[in-house]
Amino acid sequence: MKNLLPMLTGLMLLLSCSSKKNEVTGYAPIYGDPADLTSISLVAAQPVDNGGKIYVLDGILYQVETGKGIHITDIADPAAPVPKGFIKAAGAQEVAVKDGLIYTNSQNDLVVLKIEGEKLSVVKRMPVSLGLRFSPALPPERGPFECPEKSRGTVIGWQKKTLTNPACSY
Amino acid sequence: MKLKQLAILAIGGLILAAGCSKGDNAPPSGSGAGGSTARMTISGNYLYLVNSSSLQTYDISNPAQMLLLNTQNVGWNIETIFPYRDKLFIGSETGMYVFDNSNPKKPQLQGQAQHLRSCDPVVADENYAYVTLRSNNNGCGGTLNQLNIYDIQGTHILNPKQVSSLQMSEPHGLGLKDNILYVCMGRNGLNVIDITDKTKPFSRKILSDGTEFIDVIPYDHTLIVYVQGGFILYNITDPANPQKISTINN
Repeated sequence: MKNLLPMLTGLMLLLSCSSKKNEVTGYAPIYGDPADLTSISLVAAQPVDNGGKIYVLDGILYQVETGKGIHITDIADPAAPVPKGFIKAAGAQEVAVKDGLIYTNSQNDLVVLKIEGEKLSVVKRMPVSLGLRFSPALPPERGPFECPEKSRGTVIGWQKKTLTNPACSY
Repeated sequence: MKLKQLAILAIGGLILAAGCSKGDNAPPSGSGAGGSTARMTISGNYLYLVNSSSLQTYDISNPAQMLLLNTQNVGWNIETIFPYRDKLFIGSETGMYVFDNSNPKKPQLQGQAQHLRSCDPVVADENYAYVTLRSNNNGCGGTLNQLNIYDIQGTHILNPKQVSSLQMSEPHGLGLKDNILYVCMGRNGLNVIDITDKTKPFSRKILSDGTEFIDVIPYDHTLIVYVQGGFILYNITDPANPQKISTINN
């Protein structure tokens, strides 16, 4: 009886597998160092991989790199955007800006960030109820997802991607 | 007597001043603009966050002492929040909620429009709210794929009245510039919709090149488009004819 639930879960996972080639939007695991889950830092501009939500203020565009951080791009000259830097913040999904301060989330914390020159400081961090499941076990939304592989490391988040025949779903 | 007159004058002046700032077109000072699919937004000294069922109000007048003021239950499967002047528009899988935000410390539910189950970001102007309904395979459910326009003038705000709808493929985020509404349709393109007549919206053109369009922010003469993999900037000096000027994506 005790083994029934895992068996059922396994069965459901199997049933969700599909043999035909099928491209869907779903979540893929982000692998990384568990210490990166809470640390926030400013680093050099990064190529956009899986751009997310956007926010604009005073000619600066902030775009979430879903689950990883925020790209900062100067678009004062829209014909020639200039990447300015990248804020590493694991679990980031949302961004808004006011009076030079950047509001985002790091996992289930709401954080207020200040950038002076090359230096980033965390003005405030508080746990909030985002209702997003930042669980390494499951992606934040129901649907198909790429099964995590233990050999690739620790899952520290999820990113939305176009997946081919994802084997997992919930 | 003189003091009383002075007081009346002062109060009158205050009311006038308040009236003026309300009619102002400029966004609240110090904050910018987000897309229609955001779950977090800033209006004045307040930050609003929606999770799947509730609206949270944070006082950020002193950011280092950011404070949760209250949490209100709104409904189920909430997805988006969009501020417009003294209102907050909240999109859920089952409807649109309009909150009066004239007391920004505690927004009050003013009206709602129910619809069949689907994903639905919302944007608004003074008189109308624009909602896209999308069915997909990601758990949003439903079978609808369309744009709905609701009249929210005067008392209609209490029970937003649908004035039109336009069928389209997989509408996602949307944004408004003058009489043009931009609706992202995933891989089906960016729909440029003429909404001069709110009862008869029509598609002027669809920009489509295989890019997956997700959300937009009209920003002066630039349309910022969040696409799968990054963003694209269009010049919208002529809103009906967006011209691609730059791209940053993978």
